[in-house]
Amino acid sequence: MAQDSRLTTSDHMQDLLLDTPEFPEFLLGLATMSASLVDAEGQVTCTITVERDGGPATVASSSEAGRRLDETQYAFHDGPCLTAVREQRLVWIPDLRGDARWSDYLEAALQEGVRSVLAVPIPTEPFSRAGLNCYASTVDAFTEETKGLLEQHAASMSRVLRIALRLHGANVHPEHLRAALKSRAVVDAAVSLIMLQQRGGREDALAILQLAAKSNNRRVHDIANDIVRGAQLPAGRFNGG
Amino acid sequence: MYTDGGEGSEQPNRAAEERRGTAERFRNTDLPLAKLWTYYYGLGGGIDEMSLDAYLHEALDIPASQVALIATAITELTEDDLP
Repeated sequence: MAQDSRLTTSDHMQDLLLDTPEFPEFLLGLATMSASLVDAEGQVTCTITVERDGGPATVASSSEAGRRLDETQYAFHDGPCLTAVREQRLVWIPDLRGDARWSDYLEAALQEGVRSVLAVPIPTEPFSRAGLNCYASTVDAFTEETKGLLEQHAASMSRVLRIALRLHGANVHPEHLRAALKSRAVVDAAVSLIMLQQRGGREDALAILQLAAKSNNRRVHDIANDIVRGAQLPAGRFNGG
Repeated sequence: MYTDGGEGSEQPNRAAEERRGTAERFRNTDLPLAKLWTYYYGLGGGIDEMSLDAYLHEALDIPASQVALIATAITELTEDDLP
């Protein structure tokens, strides 16, 4: 039985990966899935934090309160979940009031109505770290059983999260990719026009674009844009080498 | 492909110089490779990221036209005064 339900969860996670075009959206799906796994009644909030080397941290939360709680930890640069993520160890706080660690953060969490916390590390890869954090409004909300369940869950999330991190290229921001695609399309169009007009090759056309950019102190992309919009070809005709 | 001199013409020397100079310029910036490749692709660049990496570490010769595009990409990425 337990085996079956785990298999289904892992199938769901793979579907989620295929269905979500953006990484934050995928992470949000994982957080929501985790919350309903721990507590179907919706009393538990789950957040997932992913930190990448040299990149921004991504946080997804199954509720608005969870998002605020995670942001609070970043404000204090410390907290149970950041510890779970950065030190890759489990943090279990059965009752926030009786806990002396992370005092600033705990005060803020109590104000949000949180009484117990369980944070489980999710192993990803050498260049990133992740963790699953669960918040509940009651004392002792998490038992040995939930702990075991979540550790298993974190292990299966680890696989799908690794794939997601590869897929959503950790190194390039989506806006850079979009800008490059747009620029490439315009440059290719301008190159085609220059080739036609000069009866020249692609390399010469690219050289003309670069020369025009350099002598006018403008970007290649902007020169290409002008040409596509019907501007005169830049002076300095190449004779083909 | 190009050798340092040998052919009598000074073109190959200049090309080799530019090749080395551009790779050196890259190493003096803190541009991430992925960002440079993405931008260079946007300018019409034609070699893959691994070859770019090899070229930047002077482990691979690439055509002079590609070197020029890489040099332009570095300039556009590092100069803020372009409009």
